[in-house]
Amino acid sequence: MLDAAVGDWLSVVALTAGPSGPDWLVPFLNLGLFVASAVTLLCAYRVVRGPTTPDRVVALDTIGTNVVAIAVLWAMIRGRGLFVDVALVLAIIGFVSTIAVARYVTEGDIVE
Amino acid sequence: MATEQLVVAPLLVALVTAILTLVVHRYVRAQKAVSALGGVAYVGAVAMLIQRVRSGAGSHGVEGVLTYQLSNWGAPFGITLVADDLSAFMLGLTAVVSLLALAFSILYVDEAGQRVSYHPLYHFMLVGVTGSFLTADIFNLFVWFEVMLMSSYVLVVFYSGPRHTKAALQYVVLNLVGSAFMLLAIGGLYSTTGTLNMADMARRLADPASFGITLAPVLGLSAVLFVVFALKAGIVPFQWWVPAAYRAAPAPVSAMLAGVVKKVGIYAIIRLYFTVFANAAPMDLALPGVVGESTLAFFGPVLFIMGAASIILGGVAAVNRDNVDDLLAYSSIGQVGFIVIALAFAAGGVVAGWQAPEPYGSVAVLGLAAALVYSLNHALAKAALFLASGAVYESVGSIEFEDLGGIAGRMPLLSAGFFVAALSLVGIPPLVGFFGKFLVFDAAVNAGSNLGIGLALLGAILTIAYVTRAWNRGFWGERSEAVEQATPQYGLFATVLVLAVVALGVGVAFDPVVEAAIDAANAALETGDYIEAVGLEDSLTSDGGGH
Amino acid sequence: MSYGDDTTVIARTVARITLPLVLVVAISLLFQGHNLPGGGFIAGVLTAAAFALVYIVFGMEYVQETIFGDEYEPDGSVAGPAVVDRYRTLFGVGLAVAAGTGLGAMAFGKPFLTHTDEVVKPSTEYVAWIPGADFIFGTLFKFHWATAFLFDIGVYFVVVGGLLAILAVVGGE
Repeated sequence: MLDAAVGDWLSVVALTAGPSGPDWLVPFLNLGLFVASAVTLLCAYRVVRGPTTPDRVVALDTIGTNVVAIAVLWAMIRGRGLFVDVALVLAIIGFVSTIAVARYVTEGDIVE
Repeated sequence: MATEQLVVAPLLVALVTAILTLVVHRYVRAQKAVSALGGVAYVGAVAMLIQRVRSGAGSHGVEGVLTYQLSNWGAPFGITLVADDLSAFMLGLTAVVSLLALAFSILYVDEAGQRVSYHPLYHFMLVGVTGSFLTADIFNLFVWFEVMLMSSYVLVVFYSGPRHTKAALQYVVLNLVGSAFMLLAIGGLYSTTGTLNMADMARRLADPASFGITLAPVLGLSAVLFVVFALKAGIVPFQWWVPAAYRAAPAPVSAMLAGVVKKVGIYAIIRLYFTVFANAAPMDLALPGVVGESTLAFFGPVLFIMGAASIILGGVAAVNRDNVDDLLAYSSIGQVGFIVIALAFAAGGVVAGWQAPEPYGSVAVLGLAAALVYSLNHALAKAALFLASGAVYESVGSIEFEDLGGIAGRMPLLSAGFFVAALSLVGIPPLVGFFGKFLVFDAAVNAGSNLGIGLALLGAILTIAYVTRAWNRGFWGERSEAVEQATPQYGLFATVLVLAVVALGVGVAFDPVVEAAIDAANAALETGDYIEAVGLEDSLTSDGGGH
Repeated sequence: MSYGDDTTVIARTVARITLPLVLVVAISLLFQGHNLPGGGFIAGVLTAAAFALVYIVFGMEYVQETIFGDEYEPDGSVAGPAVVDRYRTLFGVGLAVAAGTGLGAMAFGKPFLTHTDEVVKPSTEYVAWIPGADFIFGTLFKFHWATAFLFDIGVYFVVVGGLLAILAVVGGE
């Protein structure tokens, strides 16, 4: 009994079960996916147009954040925990690269 | 079990050597010793494998085709290595050239250079070449190509001057584009045929209906793949990276690039187009000017045109070069042209079923054997010449013809090596080059191609012209000031001489070599044996591929 | 003197908090690599990213002097700073480990790169009276070992060594 209960709990945490959460959540998840994707496209416009480097950097950072959001939403929709790993890795790499670019913009070099 | 492990032995020897040289990189002497030992062990492993294949050992009851399943996964899913006569022939050629180029590098590359990873890169390049020759998985072939190319990128830019960097950048960009196309074509083939295993692909192509495959995209995809292989082999119109890259690379690396790495492109063409794609069921090509229903009916004329253009362009351009390396680089474009037109005759032979006298039996076998023997000749002679060029540079300090002259009197040993290798390139009996040229002519005659005979003659004349010019300007005539003050490097000369002696020895004892070449040609054409030896697991593939 | 004087206190504080998190994620991906998405490569990339963060926020000098105890002299030579030598050795060792696992299979007469794994569960025969024994000994103490994990460790070292060597050489110029 305990074994099974903890197993279920673990699978909910790891999002390895089927579509997780109640049914009414699914349209909202889809809506979230739609919004995140739309925002990503809008940011792409800012990346292309600029006009200044900081504009592009902020836009790229926002795209990174949105992709993380998309990965998490997708994980919830499909009930697959592995997309959370993807989101985590993307978030970390995005964080480090944003710091690197920010330093490049302010100091002119990345590693001193 | 022990014999099976032999298939992977050359690959592992090269890999372990590369790793060990990397681990001991702080101790230059130890690194040199490990590298040299590894080179010798590689030759030993290849010799044992060749001996094993030639003695008729085989897998799944097929004589002379040894297969090996990496990681113990079954055939169409796991990566299969296949050592047959064709692979064995190419490995043999690689072993000889690689050992001597390695010996040359140990003496030639300076201390700082040795420390900057020369030896690991050299052995990784060897790993890539060996893997390409052994693999029977088309995606794995891509991986080995990349292993080989990544090492060669660094080796080309090794001296890292402005000129070297420019040449290497061109080389890298070109090959990256080529690799992207290769990946694209492989992906397309996978989605079309549902498999990456070459044997499985050949089997599925032969019987498209029962595997649910449409054949139409295969020709186009194989054409894309062909462009990539032509790029690696440096055939016109994909030859322009060759001279700059060969000039920029250190001499022993140029010897390896011209002698061995180019042959990987040739090998891939033989293996994929003659063993795999030629096995496809008859299809309506519906192309203007193409007669026949096999993919080779399309590739035959293409090979012929590209080979002809290579012979003419390479030969003509080589005649008026200002320095030895440029001349050799253009010459290698022309010489690969000879190999390619031999392949064109073989393709024509496969399509039309032309007969040839014994021991060949058919023009297909004769053409392939000619291409292989010519590859061997080019590998030995061109490697010797590039090493000679490096030895001249090390001794005299220049390879520009205007600084050279009268080397023959000053350094007779080097001159003898250069002379013999040059004669082999021209095709003088009893050197291996004579047999190479002779077989190409023989294939042209039996294919009934007057144009081919004319082209081969033109190519031979051009070869004589540029080789004579190199000899006259560099080795005969008055001693130039630079040559007078030269410090001969006898160790380097010895490697050149050894290669020249090998070219002579192969020519004198030619019978076993031509037998090996004919067996290799047969191995390339007998797709049935290849499929059977790989031993595909039917229960896992019966659901068919496709879409 | 202290390191990273020219970066803001925000950057330094955030880096201090983030660094262990990144490393933990890297290690967890490494450990699950043989039967879930993850593995040596991505773990190596994340570890290198963690080092990159330290390089950026605290400077190269910090890594070299406090972690490795090397003298730092930016000379711009081909070989790069002294620490590159350590990374290259790590790279070589990683390759040796990865290839070694493949060769190890051959010692047992199996083809190169053959791997094996096994699930080990302690027997619950004598401890069945403990409440939840099945869970404790069957689930918590269940251990799944795989030789592929050794291969992953090799890959991890290769990626960490390679990326850090590149970072140090490029950063040192």
